Amino acid sequence: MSISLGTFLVRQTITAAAPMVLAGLGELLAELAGVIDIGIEGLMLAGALAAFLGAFVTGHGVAGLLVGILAGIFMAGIFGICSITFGADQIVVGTAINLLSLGTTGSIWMLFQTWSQNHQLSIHLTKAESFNRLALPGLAKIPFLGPAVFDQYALVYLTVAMAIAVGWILHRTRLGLVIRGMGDSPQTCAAAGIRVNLWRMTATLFAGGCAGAAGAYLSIMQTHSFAQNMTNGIGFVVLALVIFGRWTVWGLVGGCILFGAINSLQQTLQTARYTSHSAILHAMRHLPFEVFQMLPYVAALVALAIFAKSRPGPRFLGVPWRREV
Amino acid sequence: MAVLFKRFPMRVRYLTLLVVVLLMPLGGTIAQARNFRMAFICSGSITDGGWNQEGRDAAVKVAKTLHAKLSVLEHVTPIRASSIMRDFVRRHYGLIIGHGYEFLVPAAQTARMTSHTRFAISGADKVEPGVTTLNFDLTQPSYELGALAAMVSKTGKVGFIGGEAIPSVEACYKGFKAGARSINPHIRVAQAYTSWDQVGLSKTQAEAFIQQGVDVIYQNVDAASQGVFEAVKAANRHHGKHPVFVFGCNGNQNNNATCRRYTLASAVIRLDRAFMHVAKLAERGRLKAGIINETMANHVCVVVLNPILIGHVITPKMQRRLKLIQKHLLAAGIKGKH
Repeated sequence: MSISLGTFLVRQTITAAAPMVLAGLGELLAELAGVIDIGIEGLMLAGALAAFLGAFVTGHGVAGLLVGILAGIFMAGIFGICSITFGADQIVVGTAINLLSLGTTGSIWMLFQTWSQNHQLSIHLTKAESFNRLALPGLAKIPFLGPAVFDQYALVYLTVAMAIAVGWILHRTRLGLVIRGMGDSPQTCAAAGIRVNLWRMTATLFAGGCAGAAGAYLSIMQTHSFAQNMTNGIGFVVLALVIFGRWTVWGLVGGCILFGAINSLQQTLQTARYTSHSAILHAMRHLPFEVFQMLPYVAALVALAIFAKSRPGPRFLGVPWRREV
Repeated sequence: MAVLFKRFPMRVRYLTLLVVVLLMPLGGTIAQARNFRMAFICSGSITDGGWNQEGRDAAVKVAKTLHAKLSVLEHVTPIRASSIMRDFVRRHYGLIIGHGYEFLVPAAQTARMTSHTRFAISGADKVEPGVTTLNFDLTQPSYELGALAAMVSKTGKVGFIGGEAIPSVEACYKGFKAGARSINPHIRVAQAYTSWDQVGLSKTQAEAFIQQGVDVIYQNVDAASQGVFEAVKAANRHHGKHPVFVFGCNGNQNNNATCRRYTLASAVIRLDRAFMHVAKLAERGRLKAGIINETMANHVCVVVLNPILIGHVITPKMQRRLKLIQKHLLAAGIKGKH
């Protein structure tokens, strides 16, 4: 079924934004609780590989997704023990997690490839082991928006539900108040009898699970494959988008959609300048392709500059909690 | 031992001596080969399913054939390359293969310090003192693929996706475009660059191509090629009108598990042939600095058609035209008329 350019752009925007929103929601919660996990890139990479291997070994895409989430939680657990339990610098530990994940996933992937070559196995996910786009019956046929919004991967629908749930929890429940309190005033939380480090660890593990699921989205849903360093900076973009969104769910979602939209637009423009009959697009042929590639980042920087002063971040972000602090 | 030897008649003694003398050079070669050490360094991952993995596999094959010791290092940045190369020189390695143009300058810097270690840099087209450059010219195979794309395309729009705009990748685009235009002067040839390892990005770029009507995609994105294959597979699942095809690059990707029924052909660099040639020369101490052009003519850069598509998608008429194009390319180069 061929779709119009507008529908295509909306669909690509959602597809690109979904893993960033998913990973960003976890990171947002962790940061609001006072933990900045810059190892999110590594967690996503670990989730991507674990999901692929989980799906390949078990023969089920859902099992792969669960393994991916568990891998993210495991890596986040290492981060949490080092930075929350032992109070190590969160930036340093996060960097170490990124490097550890890059090296470990690369080595495991190489061993897996060698093993599969020796056993003459094709490294390819079957239909049952992966996810394809899930068109919602009836809704997917709505003109224009149907194929764009309701013909997405299963995790996209879950991400939308999760974004609504996280937004509601953060602003309408006591739990949300506690989470925000741990980033802004951990002393007050501790005085109220809340175990700050335990809650921070829970938020960190939740962020790990979200990042693992986002990694799984990249491997077993979007591409049905794994490549070494396949996240290639998406995690760092997510970190920037949490700040861009001024630590709010809707700011984060908006930022991800903006980033995804401009990325989809630049990819279409790169193509259209050669395939379209439009004189304006034709003239763009002389622009270096790097100009198109940097568009999403330039837009993010401009937007960050505009909204930078609207709301400060959590006061105790990245500061380890000790009772005597 | 001498007493034992004297017991034999003089004729047998001379014959034995002659055999030993004749076998000595062979023995020397075997001993030399067993001591021969090679290093292979690349900037990417050796599991990328493309350029780096093909390079590693070729180096392993060469080392096995020559009974040489091989060290493989991946993710080597040009900044680290000099110190790594110096270390190999210190350990008396006979040949260092730097797999990528980015190792040319570090190799030239290190080559000044040694006379026993030879340096071969693959994928570069410049000459540096003390370094043997292997220039894999995929322009001609890409030209052939371009011609095939134009013959197969129903929309008159074909596209090229590269991992990075480096000379060797841009040469693929130029060859592809020239080949396509040689068949259909009005054909539109789109071009985009994504990343070597971001599979998702390559997939969305390929989807953008397909949405714009491109129905034949030539990709040179190594590990990210899986994204392009996925996009082609999905397009062929949903598109009703006409199929979308793809080309492989660097290695033979015709047999990829995702969309082998839609992979028309691959522009292949037979790295093992090229590496074997330089390794044998280096082992004998005869590898000279300069540039070795690996092209279609010496069967290192070739086009491999997908056998399962020959006959129905790649018709006998197309094959005949391709053979003619190949003949003209070998005789007159890229400017020849077809």
